Amino acid sequence: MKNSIKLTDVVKKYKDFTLGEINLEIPCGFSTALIGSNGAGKTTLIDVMCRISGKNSGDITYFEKYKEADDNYVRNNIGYCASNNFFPAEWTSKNVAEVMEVAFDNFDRKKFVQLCEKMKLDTPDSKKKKKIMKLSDGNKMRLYLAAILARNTKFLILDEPASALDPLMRDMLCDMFREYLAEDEERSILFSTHNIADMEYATDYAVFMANGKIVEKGFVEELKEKYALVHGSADILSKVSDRLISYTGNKTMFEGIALTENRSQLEKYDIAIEVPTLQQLSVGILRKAEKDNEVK
Amino acid sequence: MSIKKLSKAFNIYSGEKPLSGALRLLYIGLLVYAVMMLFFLLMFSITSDKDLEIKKIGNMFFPLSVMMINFIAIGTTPIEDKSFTFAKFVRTLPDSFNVYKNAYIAKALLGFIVMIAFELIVFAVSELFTHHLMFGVCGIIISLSGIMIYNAVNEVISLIKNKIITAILFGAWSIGFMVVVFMSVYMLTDIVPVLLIAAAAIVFFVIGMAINFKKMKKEWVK
Repeated sequence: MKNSIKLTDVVKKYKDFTLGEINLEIPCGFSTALIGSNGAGKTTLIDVMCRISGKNSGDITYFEKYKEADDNYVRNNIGYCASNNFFPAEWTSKNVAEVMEVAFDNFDRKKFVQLCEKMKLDTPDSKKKKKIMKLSDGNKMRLYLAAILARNTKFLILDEPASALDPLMRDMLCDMFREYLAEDEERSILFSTHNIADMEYATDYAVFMANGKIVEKGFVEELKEKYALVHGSADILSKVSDRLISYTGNKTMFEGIALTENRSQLEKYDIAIEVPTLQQLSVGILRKAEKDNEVK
Repeated sequence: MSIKKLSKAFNIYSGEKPLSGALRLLYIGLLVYAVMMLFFLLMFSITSDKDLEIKKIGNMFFPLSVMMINFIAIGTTPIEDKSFTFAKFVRTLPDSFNVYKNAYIAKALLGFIVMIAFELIVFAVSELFTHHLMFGVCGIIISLSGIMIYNAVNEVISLIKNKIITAILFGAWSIGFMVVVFMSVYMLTDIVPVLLIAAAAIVFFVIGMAINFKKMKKEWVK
């Protein structure tokens, strides 16, 4: 399977935080969610991938052959978007269109106008155009996304694209991801999020991060086969807790995540075993990572 | 380095085309100058020796307005610091560092062109309608040279990491600079020292630019 990007032993050190070592391949043709709690290192990883920040060690390969993010092919084919203040606050959609047009050869102004209309934003040709500073957070993100999606790229890297969006727009964003991937089989998407519930429909591959490290990764369907959601009454918890990778509970019941290879042992007890949603998986995996970190 | 590349870079950094940027800058400069002059014309219209007062004020605002244009010109290319999120957009452009360099040069050139245009307009209007300025071409060259030297020294000051020391030096240098430029504009009338100042200013500008590029290159790969 082809990769859009491959990271080998990548480390980025700050005074109070270290990212890595990161070994990661983002598969071509799919949408990948980078999932982690606040401060897990998602933005740092994205910044290193996009060469906004340098790395201390390790290798990054783009589109299977390019070693430098600053290579023009790489820059032209990666559509990157930050989570906020991506464009200056005093700009309007017209400024955005003009700048994107001169900055990137593959920017399609017509498509940008269509996307603005679809997302109910001022188009560059509207008589009255609001400055970005006057837009709500959600509309700012819509404008950023319209600017990025109007480029003919092969790989989208989006930092928290869904956080500021309303549920309807998140749903639309999922559809846009699907359309983007369907247009070219060599395309792929990487987006970070700590709120996976609304983006599950758009996620094929998931990468879980905690404390600057990758704690789990894989195709969503494979992860759902690897892990099981377990819930039952609280009195059984003490008997099965050593089989659970993480759990939460109250006086009457508990819920946790277990490896499906332990299914036969768990089935001996009066508990329900189900296929977890990505949201439930995320909570279980990240909770375990937090617990492991506390032990360290 | 072509005009097209400079224009493209300016557009990326400022969000507007160079011509509209220049016209906007000129418009703001002239507007502020006119408002200041109008205010003082009205104020001194009640004094007995109004011609002298108006003359003084007009001459004082001339280099001040030039400096103001320079500050606004810097403002048209908002981001030179990677800590701003917009810099992430700039950083992910194809050939991003060269875009930055071209934007810096474009900004400086445009600033100078607008300043010259501004000075010529104010000079012509003053001579024709209001009062004779107390200086001529020499004053214009000195004020432009002053701006070039001022920016270059600011680049050197910005290398100091201690923010308090930087702020003190910046303040002292700005005040000292203004005094020296004002004095020079009115006192130097001989073309030879003025041309020497202009030559020194070009050297300062190139050094300042080199310092900026070196500083930013470090930021780019950090």
